[in-house]
Amino acid sequence: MSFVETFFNWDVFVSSFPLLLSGLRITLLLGVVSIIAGLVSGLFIALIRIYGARPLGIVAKVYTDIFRSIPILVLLIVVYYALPFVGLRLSPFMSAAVALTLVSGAYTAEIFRAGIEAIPSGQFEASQALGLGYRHMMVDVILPQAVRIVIPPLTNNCINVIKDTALASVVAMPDLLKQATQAQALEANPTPLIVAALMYVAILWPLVILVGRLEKSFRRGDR
Amino acid sequence: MLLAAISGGAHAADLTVGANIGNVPWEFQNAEGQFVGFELDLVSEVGSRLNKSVEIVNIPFNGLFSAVQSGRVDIAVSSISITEKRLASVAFAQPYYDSAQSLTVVNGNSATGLLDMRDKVIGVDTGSTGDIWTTANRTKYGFADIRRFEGLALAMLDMQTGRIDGYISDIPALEYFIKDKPYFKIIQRIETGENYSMMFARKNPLVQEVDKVISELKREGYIAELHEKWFGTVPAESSSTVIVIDGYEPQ
Repeated sequence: MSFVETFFNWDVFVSSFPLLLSGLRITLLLGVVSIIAGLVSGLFIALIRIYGARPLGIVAKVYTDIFRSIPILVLLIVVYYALPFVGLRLSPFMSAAVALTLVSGAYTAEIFRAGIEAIPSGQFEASQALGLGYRHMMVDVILPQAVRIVIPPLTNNCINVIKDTALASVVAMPDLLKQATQAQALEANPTPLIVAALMYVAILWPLVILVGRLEKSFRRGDR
Repeated sequence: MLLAAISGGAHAADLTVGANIGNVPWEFQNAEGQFVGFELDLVSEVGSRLNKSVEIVNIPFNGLFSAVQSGRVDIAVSSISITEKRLASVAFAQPYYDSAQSLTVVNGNSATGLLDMRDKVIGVDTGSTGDIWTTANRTKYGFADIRRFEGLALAMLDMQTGRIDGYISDIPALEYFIKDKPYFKIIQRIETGENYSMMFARKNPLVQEVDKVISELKREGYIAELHEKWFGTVPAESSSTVIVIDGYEPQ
């Protein structure tokens, strides 16, 4: 069998394409849900860590430390296969979304914290001197500046979350990788895997380029 | 030396054999950590008849197809059924086992067969003939969903948690697996008329060599003995475990 026939087999491509598209849909859905949930939880954890009461701050720190130390695959297997024994039975999609969100939230919290802490203390003092309340100070003064600093690393984190969705195939989730391995076994041909790889690249390459552009333009803004 | 260390390893032996370890009783790891099983006995006997050393590599079932095609392994065994679609991309020696599918549920489930699986969630192994059968018969039996696993152990674990209601897979593996696990039961045999054999890359001259040895081993009754060793029963006279097919040409 020739190289093209093996790795870029047109018939196999045509017959497996619908399956791969359905996998891509689930991969994107899982990625978007986990990214949004991770952003929201990460922001709260960062705020608690910096401005919360001391015991709460410690809890937030322990959370970010633990979930940055645990491999996502291990966390996913624990959530999916171990939690049912204590009565918590999540669907494959929910298990994957929970595992990805827990980890993404921890990373996002660290990114936000670094961003907020990078704002000079003069900005806080000036806000207070102007008599702004806490909410106004954060929403109108601090966060808009912090967001500029954190957008490139946050976009990087989004890329990682989408890549990590491929791990969900171990919990019987029909994501892109799972559909590709299934199609590959059904057709006894690796073309679906190649197509899946190209699909991942097609989604993530623009994001990778975007990170580069953002970093450049924000650096220019500093001058 | 360095190059050998990088590219070698998998090709240290004359014949590299890919097997989905954990597929009882065909190829699995025993308590001592050795790879054992019906097909591993068979493939090592084939190797010794051909005067070739054999090395077993553990590869998940759905990875075996690309493994033979890429030349990463010379032979794949894993109770692989010969199907028309697979024959378009890979080659097989003559079959040595007639198989069927089966429906397994947890003991205590009141279901008695496929007809009780309407609106239920079925587990299968990714890309297996069980997957193919279940997907083709999904609307006929009204399965709510099909979940795809990388092997029997994870699927059975998920059945215990209650996420899947039934598991459809090759009957010999299930019969062997549940022997010492009374909390599972097989409630239906599903006739699919499939046969297992060793898988190769297309146009690999090794296919004919191995095929001849399999004929020889059938004539000597060696494969029938393996059947007795691993299943405790004598194979039927009319089964492919006994019948010799000289010059096997798959349809």
